[in-house]
This record gives sequence, structure tokens and C-alpha cells, in this order.
Amino acid sequence: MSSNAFNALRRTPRWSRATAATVLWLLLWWLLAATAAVPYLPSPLAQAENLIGNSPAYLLAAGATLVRAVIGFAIGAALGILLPIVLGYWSATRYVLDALADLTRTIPGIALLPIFLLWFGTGDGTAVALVAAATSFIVIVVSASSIRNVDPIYLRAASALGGAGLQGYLLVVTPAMLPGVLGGLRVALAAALPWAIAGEYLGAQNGLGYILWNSLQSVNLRQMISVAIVASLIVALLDLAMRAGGARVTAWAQTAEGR
Amino acid sequence: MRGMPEWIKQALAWIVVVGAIVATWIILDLTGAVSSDRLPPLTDVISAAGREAEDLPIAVLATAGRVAAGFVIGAVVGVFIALLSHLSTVASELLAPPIHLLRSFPPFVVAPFIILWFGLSVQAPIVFAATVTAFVVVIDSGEALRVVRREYPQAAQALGAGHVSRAMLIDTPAIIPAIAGGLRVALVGAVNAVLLYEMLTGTEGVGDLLIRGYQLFRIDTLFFAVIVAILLSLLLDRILVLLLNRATHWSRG
Repeated sequence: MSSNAFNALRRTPRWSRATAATVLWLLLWWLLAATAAVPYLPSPLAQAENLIGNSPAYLLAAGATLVRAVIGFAIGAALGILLPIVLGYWSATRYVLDALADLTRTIPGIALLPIFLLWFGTGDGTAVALVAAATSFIVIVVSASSIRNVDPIYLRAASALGGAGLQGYLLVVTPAMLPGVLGGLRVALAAALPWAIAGEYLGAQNGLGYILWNSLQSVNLRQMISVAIVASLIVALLDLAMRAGGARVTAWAQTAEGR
Repeated sequence: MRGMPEWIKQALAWIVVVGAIVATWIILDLTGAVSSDRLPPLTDVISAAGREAEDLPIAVLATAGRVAAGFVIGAVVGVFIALLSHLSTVASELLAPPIHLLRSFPPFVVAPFIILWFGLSVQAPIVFAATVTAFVVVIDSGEALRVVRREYPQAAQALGAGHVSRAMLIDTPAIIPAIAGGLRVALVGAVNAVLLYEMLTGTEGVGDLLIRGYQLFRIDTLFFAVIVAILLSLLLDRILVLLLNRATHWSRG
């Protein structure tokens, strides 16, 4: 492409370039479907029809998965924040916290799925427990690193002002670790839905994972793509909500940094 | 604890963590707080290890091989896509929609698509692991490339380096320290992907050992398989950290 063409491309508004790129990808999709280059792939139009036509069923399934994801996330987040706060109090147990974070970072959460299946059967419990375990692993790692990064000068200042011991620790460390922990909670919340779906493949009677697994058995690629689109949209919405909420809660930290 | 070398403190901390887990397990078993059909006695798990000893090396090697192959392919493809998007305006515009989509695409959703298109083939779990790895690496590399110091590529180009040599000799090494954390996350993602595939399809490997333990109600085998999966993931992570430390020693100078 000549430099004139490059300059012309750069001058076009960003939204029109993004639209053109999206249209090109849709054209490629249509071409792949029309030539049957990808087995079972429907055309974009047939896909849209499936998504819109069955949207009540998808929304119902998404609701079930979302409930499991949110309950599991709440349990995982509470565990992932409280355990590091307790272990971070004494300097000796801070090493234990680091070892625990190192271990949880590498645990493949999916290996726990058969144990939860055995304990909770094919109800809500399996997916909830899997989400709780996987999200707590993420939050423990981030909380441990946030506690490690709290500047000791804050603790010394609190101690000088009479806030020594556990009270001073909680008053200083809890808010100081918040900006870091919120980043981890965002990652954990985005991971909660995929983990709930993984839990539903073998351990549920409804939900997005259940539909996805059944669609595979009946070779219904349209339904599989629709579920993937719905799941992506929910993850994007959860991330947006978490960003908005996080920005409000940590506004003080940004103000302090700006000073 | 004061005056004790750092590595001894870290080793002691690991012993405390593992010891606490084992102690809790033994207490729960001895007090009968959890029944043995939910939490097997530690001795039963050791017996299961003896029973599975013959087939275990093959299962572990099969899973580790799939993870390693998928991870390497996914990391290379991920860095390549990020470089392409960084170095070419046209590629950047074209790749923007799928990369944007990747940010919120749930990786485990890929599993049924892989099974549909690749079935029970040798490459299926590798493709799955590669896809999960590439998801993480594309995003991380893209963000790392944005903060690479401009002087390096400019100096390379002034010395006559083309796009390919710049990408190979400047951009790629420059982003490795920044994506090291992401690569470790991607490796665990690849382990999860391979285990999930093996569990869903019954393909020989640690995932199959896990699901067999569940399906046959052999809870001792199941717990043994979980321990194997965790140890395998830990081992692969340590190898990656070792390789990353070697590859990024220059950045700590």
C-alpha cells in the first residue's frame, strides 16, 4: 500500500475504520459459511436469527449461570481477601501468605471439578464451589501482593498516632490494599462466568454450560455460537459494572496520587 | 527468624502451608468430621498411588506434552499477532475487532467448539491449550508493546533494521519481562484446558484419571489424581520461571 493510501486511511474517522474492519470480518464469516470451509458454520444472518429467536431461552440459562457465578464469586472474594489480611498481620506468617499465593497461582482449578461433583452432585453446588475456589485463588494472589506493597511508613505513622497493633493494621492495610484488590476482583469477576460454565458442562441441569454441552451432542453450532455471544456480552457487562464501581470506591487513591 | 537467609524462610513457609493442609486432612479424617466417602484417609490415597504407579508416567507425560506444545504454539502465535498489530497500521485496524472481542471471551467456552471441529484427534487438546494461551498473550503483549521505549526500535531502524529484524531483535525481547506474569497465568490456563479436554472426552492423561476416579466412585484415585495435577502444574510453572529468568536476566541489570 502506498504512503498516500496510508495517510488516507489514517485521516478517516476511527469509528468508520472500526466499522469497515467489522464488516470485513463478517464478510469472511459469510464466505466461510457459504463455501462450507468450516463444518456446520451458519451464515451470519442465520446466526442472528437463532440468537434473537431463542433469546428468552438464552437469557433464562444466562440467569441461572450468572446466579451461580455471582454466589461463587462472593464466597471466593470474601475468602481471598480475609485470609491474606489475617496472614499478613505477623511478619512470620507473611512468608506463609507468599507461599500460599504461590501455590494458589499454580493450582489448576478444573482438577477440583470431579471432587465437587462427588460432594455436591449435579446441582447448583458444583458450579458455585468451582467458581468460589477459582476466584479465591485469583483474589488471594492479588491481595497478598497488595499487602506486600503497602508502604511501611503508613503503619509507622498510624502507630505514632496511637493506632498500634491490630487496630492500626486494619485501619491502614485494608484501605491501602483496596485499589490493588479491586483490580483482582475485576479479573476474578470476569473469570467467574467461564468457571461457572465449566462447572455446568458435567454438573448442572440448566445454564449456559449445560446448553453448550447439549448443543455439542446434537451438533448444533448455531446454538453454541449464540451461547458464546451471550456469555461474552455478560462478561463485558460485568467488567463495565466493576470498573464503574471500582472507580467510585478508589477515587480517593487517584486523588492522592494526583497530588 | 531475623538473620535467617531469605530462601530458608521461603522453604519453611512452604513446609508450613503443605503441613497445614495435611494436618487439616488428618484431623478431619480422624475425628470423623467428614465421612471417608467424601474425604479419603491419606493412607488410601497413598495406596491409590501404588495402584496407579504403572500407568501414571504415561498419563503425566501425555498431559505435560499437550500442555507444553499448546503453550509454546499459543505464546508464539499470541506474540506474533500482537507484533503484527503493533507494526502494521492495516493489520492493527483489521485485528482490532477480534482482539477487542477476546478481552471478554470466556476461554472455557472454546472446549465444545474444539471437540466439534477436531474431535478426538491428537491435535485437539493442543489447539485448545494454544487458543487459551494465545488469548492471554495477545492482550498482554499488545499492552507491553505500547510501553516499549521508543529509542530502541528507532535506533535499530536508524542502523538499517527492517520490520522483521526489529520485531525479532528489539520488540520481542523487550516485552518478555512485561509479559512474564501473563505467560505464567497462560500456562495454568493451558493446564486447565488440557485437563478439561481430557475429562470431557476421556482421552488418556491426568484429566482422564480425574474423571475415572469420579465415575467409578474411587475417591482415593480421584484425590491422588488431583495431587498429581497440582504437582504437574507446579513443576511446569517452575520450569517456565527458570526459562523466563534466563531470558530476562539482562532486564534486571
